[in-house]
Amino acid sequence: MKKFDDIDLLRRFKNGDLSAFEDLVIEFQDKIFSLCRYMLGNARDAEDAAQDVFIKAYQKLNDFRPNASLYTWLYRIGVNTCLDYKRKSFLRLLNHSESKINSLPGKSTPEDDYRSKETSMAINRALAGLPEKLRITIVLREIELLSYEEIAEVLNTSVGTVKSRISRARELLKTALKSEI
Amino acid sequence: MTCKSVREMISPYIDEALEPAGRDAFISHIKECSECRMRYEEIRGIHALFAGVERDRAPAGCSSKVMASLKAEQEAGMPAFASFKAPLFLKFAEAAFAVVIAIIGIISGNILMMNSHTSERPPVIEESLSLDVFDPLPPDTIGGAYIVMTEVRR
Repeated sequence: MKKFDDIDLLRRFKNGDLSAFEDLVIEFQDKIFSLCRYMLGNARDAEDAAQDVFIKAYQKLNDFRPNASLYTWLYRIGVNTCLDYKRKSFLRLLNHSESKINSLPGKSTPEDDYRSKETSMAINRALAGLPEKLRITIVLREIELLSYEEIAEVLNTSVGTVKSRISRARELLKTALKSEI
Repeated sequence: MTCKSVREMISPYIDEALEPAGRDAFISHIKECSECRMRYEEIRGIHALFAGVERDRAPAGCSSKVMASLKAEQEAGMPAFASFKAPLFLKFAEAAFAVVIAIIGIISGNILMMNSHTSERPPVIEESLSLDVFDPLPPDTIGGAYIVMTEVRR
């Protein structure tokens, strides 16, 4: 798989090549949408939020410093955008996740995936019950598969804090998901 | 190692975020401590649940919608495209043009200064006071005394 080249993209973008930005959107749209879906709890809001993330990224891309990772920079915009959405709409993951999971576009539910679907729904419920900081951290680790250092960069905190939040989140999830383990 | 410190290492161990020395110490401890081993197995089970979660994919046409939104904001005069700056070579051309204008200005200024200086001759006291252009005056007259004075100064 071709490694996404941050430096080349920035060079093309600063030279006025708009297709560079479209390449960035195509490369990261699944990850950003997934992040928004887990933070906001439904696909419709996630789609709107993901579009906002990319529009903000477009507006700020000329100010991006290459010493940071484009990947974590984009995630940081994603986290902040979703937090803004939640502050404005007072959405709660718990009330929206269950019904909306079934309506996620492109998801088929064959019989043999029933258990997997139930597990996903249970995980969503458990995540919804976590304090926000713990939820964001564990989603970035378990769903988005960021390293501790990357999560610290996204959340502008220390690796030690990330370790502590992940440990606490897993302890709480252990209680909530006892029947699933 | 105490059980308390080992339990704090469970998540970093699962996430492969421990240093080799710490990892070895952790493994040694949970081999011997059933309580810590049980805690480790529980947390590992939680981690394993997430491995089975299907990752979302962005809806079809997401990138097209994003680009369309950006273009719509541009047409509406919104700031989305405000950050789109001119290509680099145009910026360099603009800067180079400004430098050329400045240099022309400096050179022109210097030329003007030189011209104004050449039209002014430093005052020559002797010449300005010299009465050589006139007929010499007898020394016992005021004019003659003046000529003597200027000759001394020279």
